[in-house]
Amino acid sequence: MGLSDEQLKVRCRSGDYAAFEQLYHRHKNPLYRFIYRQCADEELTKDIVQDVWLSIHRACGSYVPSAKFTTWLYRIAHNRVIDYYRRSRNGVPISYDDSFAEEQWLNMENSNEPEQIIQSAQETERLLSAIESLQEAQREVALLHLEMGFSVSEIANIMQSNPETTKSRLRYALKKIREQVSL
Amino acid sequence: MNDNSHSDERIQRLYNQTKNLRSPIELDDFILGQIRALEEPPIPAANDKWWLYGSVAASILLIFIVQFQGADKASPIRPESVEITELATVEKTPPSVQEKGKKSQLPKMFFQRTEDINNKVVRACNGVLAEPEENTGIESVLKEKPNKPSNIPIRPIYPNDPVKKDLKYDRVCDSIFKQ
Repeated sequence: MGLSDEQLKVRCRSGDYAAFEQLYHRHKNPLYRFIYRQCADEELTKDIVQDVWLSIHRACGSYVPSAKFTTWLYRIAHNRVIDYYRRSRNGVPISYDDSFAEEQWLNMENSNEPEQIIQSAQETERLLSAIESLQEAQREVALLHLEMGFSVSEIANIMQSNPETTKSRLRYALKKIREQVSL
Repeated sequence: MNDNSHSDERIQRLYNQTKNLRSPIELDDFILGQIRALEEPPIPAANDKWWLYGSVAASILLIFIVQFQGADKASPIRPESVEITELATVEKTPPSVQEKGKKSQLPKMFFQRTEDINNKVVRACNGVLAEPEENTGIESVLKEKPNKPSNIPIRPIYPNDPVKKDLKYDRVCDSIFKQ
């Protein structure tokens, strides 16, 4: 049995490069997918991933061992994605706003846009298309849930949002995916 | 509700099938290389700098040492100190010998007098140059009473008659300037 993420991170604080490398290889692929499926741009994803890992290394001293490492890692990744949105022309999407009402999501749910996007016959491709068609905040919640298996409270902690809002986002995201994949 | 949970499980299985997307190897190498560079401070570079700085400091120190050693060797050869010691030995000898000793110590480029020029005072009296017959010196000449007639012959330097020109003055001048 190897060391836990938290134990490895504590070792990183004392300058153990091997511990950091182990953490990197353990989480590099989920993190890469998490960011790539939000940006849909390979070069941009590389930049953000690199920024996240450098931030992780830089912030070794501020890591509290009681906190879950993955929560900490994905919070940094979330912040970097938000930074990316902030720098983009459209700014941070409105779907990240906690005041974004549930009714508005219901209204948007009735639009025909997802059906137009989904063209692939394969279920996995349909799934990815469905994820891609989600609102940004819903997509991030769905990815955190599907990629890492985070609970609602953990996702709320990562995204620093209201747990109720997070719960709603996850519920509607899964509902949309179910409908698009025809499950 | 059961349908939803069943669907969620199916979604999760489908999603797991898409996990073949992996982080590119070149990205891994790049990130880990950067982290390694940050993790390990540039010790070899520091060593290189240490040797560089050390060699420069050693060379500067060597230059200083060589300069100070050269200064120590040059300092004992001081002409002033030698002259002072020789003069101290001459002080015990008679004045005439001291005078000769002083003159002998002077470099040849200096003016060496064979006789005292003060013994041949040439005064200006009423615009006429004259030579005292006695070796009185300036002080004795100044002490002379004004009413007493001077024993110094007053003669024109360039008399009207060029034939009667006294060669005495020319001799004096010759003796002075030939020296």
